[in-house]
Amino acid sequence: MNGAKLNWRTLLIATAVISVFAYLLENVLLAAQGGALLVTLLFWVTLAHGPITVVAAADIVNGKWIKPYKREMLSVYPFGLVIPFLFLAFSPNVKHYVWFHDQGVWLNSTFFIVRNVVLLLITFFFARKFALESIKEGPRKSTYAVWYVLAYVITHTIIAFDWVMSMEYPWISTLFGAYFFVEAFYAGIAFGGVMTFINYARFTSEYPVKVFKKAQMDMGTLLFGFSVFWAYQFYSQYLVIWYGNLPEEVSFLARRVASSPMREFAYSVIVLLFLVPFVTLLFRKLKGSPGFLLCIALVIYTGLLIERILYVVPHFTVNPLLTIIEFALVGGLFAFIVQSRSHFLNLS
Amino acid sequence: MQIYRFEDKKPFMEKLKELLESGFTSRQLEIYLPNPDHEIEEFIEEYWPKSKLKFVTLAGGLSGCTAGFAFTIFTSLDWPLITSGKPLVSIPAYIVIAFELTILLGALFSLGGFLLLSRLPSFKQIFQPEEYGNEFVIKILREET
Repeated sequence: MNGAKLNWRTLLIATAVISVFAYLLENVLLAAQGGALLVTLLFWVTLAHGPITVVAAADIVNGKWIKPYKREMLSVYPFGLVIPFLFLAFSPNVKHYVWFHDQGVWLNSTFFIVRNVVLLLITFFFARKFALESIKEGPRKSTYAVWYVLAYVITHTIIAFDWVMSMEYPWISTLFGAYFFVEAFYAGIAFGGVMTFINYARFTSEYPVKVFKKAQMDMGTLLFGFSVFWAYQFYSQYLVIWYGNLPEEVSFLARRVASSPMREFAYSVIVLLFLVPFVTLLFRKLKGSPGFLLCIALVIYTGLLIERILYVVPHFTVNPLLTIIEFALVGGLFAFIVQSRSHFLNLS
Repeated sequence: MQIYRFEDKKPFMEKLKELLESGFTSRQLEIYLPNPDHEIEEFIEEYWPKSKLKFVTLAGGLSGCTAGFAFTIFTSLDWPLITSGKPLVSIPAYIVIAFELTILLGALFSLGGFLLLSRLPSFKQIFQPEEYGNEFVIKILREET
């Protein structure tokens, strides 16, 4: 695909335009509460960092299998710069959080915005350092990988606590942060599945089919493994809430499963994020099919999106039309960034 | 019984390929290597019949899962004790037991299946180990299929 390509300047302009547009849509034109933008942010932040984390994890342990995928997976790193801008566009809507009228030291609107933007920028900084070092197989790639993974884990934990958990204040769950960054990692592996399908011809022309097929199988197996890990984390959190049956804990689940159609959507998340990938990826033949990997990645993304909507819906108004517009705009920018990888990764 | 012995891997691979392509099956051949070799393993995988071990593991896993749920549900119904207002049959709590039994029986069935399918332990081979040192060896056990 040889279409329009982005560079840093056009990327910044596009980001600014989309952020301002989203801000105007949510706050000036429709007086929505920013719910659509929050759903968009929660979904795309997984793809801004997840794929790079998969490469970083493989690089830390000296995994060679990731090599055919590196270029595609690392190409998403400029997208990490888009997220803080979008978050700034969302920031006026912090006033809709329940804690806004009773602010403390941590849940303080200024501190809330500043720490999230700073953490997102730090993650972007390390993502860039790591991506550029890793793509040329530089000697410091493992060091940067460790720094990046640390920044990623802290940022996603704070995102989970701030963006989602604080909606439910005083509900707390210490596992929520881990649950969140594992989900982003899961989305990152699924991105490998998407890339397998889109770039299959290039992969098999650059690498012997046997070598690439092995990498593809590894990607499929990792996807399978993380579907189990996702279920494990989900269940660990669910079981404790279910067993304890404490009003302040149960309210988080009760709000989402007490009535139809939220209940059906909540169940569909388990089917899409666990049952479907788990059962289908057991079969070797399916793991070997690029088309199937794409399908399963789309199933996972649908599950993630529904889950994100379920988080936000009880507290913010989520306008469906706005969600579609903002989701498509940010998704389009993401696709452009991946397509412009040769510029951003300094590839000749 | 015919035995081919090679000092190097290359002629060994060529002979093995020739034999496999002429129609010999895994039941008729036995090979001995001086060290584990992934290349040879991958090569013979194309000719060797697929292992049925996965079905044994699946059967173990499924029976473990069924046994876990059946056991917990049966005991709850047989001696009803309402605990913290939960229903008598509380599936979320039973998932842990069903999961553990899935893993346990899956692993035990795999071990048993592996021993059975590889015809192990074979006392005949323990008492008469065949030793070929550094050589690559192909043994034709029987000519006819």
